[in-house]
Amino acid sequence: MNRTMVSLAIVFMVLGLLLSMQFKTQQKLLNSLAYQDARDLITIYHTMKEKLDDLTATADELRLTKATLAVRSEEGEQLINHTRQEIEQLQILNGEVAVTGKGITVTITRDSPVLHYDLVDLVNELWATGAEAIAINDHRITATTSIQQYGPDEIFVNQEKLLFPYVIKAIGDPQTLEKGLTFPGGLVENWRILYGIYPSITLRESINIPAVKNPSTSR
Amino acid sequence: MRKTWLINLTLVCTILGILLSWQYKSYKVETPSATSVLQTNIIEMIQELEQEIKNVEEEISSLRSALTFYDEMGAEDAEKLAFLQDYLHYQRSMAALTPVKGPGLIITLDDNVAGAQSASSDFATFRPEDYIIHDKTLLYLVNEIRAAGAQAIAINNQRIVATSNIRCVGTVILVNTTPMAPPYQIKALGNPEQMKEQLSQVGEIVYLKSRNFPVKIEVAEVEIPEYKGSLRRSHIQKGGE
Repeated sequence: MNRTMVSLAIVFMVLGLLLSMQFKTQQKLLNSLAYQDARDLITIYHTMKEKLDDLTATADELRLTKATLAVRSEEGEQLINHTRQEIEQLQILNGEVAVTGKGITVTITRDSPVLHYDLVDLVNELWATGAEAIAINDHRITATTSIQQYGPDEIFVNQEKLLFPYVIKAIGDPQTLEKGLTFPGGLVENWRILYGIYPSITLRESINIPAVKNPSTSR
Repeated sequence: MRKTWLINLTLVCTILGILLSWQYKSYKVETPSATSVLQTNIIEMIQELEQEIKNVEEEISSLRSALTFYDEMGAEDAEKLAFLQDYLHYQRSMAALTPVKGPGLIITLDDNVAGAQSASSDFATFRPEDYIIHDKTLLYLVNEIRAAGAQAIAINNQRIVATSNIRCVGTVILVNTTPMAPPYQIKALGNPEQMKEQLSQVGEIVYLKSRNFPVKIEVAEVEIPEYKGSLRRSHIQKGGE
């Protein structure tokens, strides 16, 4: 009786195992392509091919859009950089930023009988010979700068009184700027002969000129 | 007792046999048979398609996220650019690169032709240079107009900028290296009354009037063109103090 029970138990175990195996296999088969017949497979193939074509077309379109956007973005960036550069150049011109470069300094000492006209002449001459930025005693010369005189030794630049020595800084090619002032019949000769003003001119490798103190109101 | 056992065993073995054969059949279906070579090929093609579809789908998804990125960046760039262009316009107007219009003065200067004619008979004392407008006159006048508060100036429609120079070569006056001939019309944008009063008190206008030069000052709506010359910059850099 005991032996019978053991045998039966073993048999049922095997039976159970087989049943579950069969169920799994059957399940897999139902989902498997191999279970479909050829006609269905062809239908599946065509449906999928259509889908792939659609997707490929979409991808092509997107790739094209992306390329266009990439170019546009690049252009946008270039435009931004270009605009920044232009702004910076104008800020230099408008005296809104401090600047540096080669140039000359013209120094006029206390003993010189200098009038504001002489400074207007000097600034004009420096612009004419290629100065790119000018300052008198670090007052930046801009489109709205005026040089006025209210009495002997009372010269005002942008309403601020100048103190001796007057130091005019100009950024530009040092040799050209110097020659523009010292050529025969030029400004320096006139100053010397007519007025007894003896400026000292120094060529410099590096000159710093500060920004305007009060932003100009020109338009 | 013994018989019952035998029957049981027979039953179990029979079921076992059926199950085994069923399993074997299933197994056989799974393995390709000679008749389903076509099927196998189509299945392979389908599987290839599956892989391709998956690849394209992945590409589409990455392309879409790239587009979103560009869209966002484009919007950001557009905003940045709009701001920069506004600021650039402001800087350009400050640098006299845009035309301006508004209340101001029109000052007209001419050589003293009448004075020269009446004086020219006396060769001993006649100095023709006393009867013409000189470059310095214009230069100092521009400085005075600036001091009087002008916001924009032009001589014969040549806009005066920071780097403008006024010189003469022979008897020709150059403004921004552009030759000029009399009469000289100077337009100044700014408070007309204030500028007129200040210019009439002292300076070039007063001097010219005292020498009987034809000088005319009109209060008017002025239109001043933009500076059209070049902006040279080859020795200068932002920086320093």
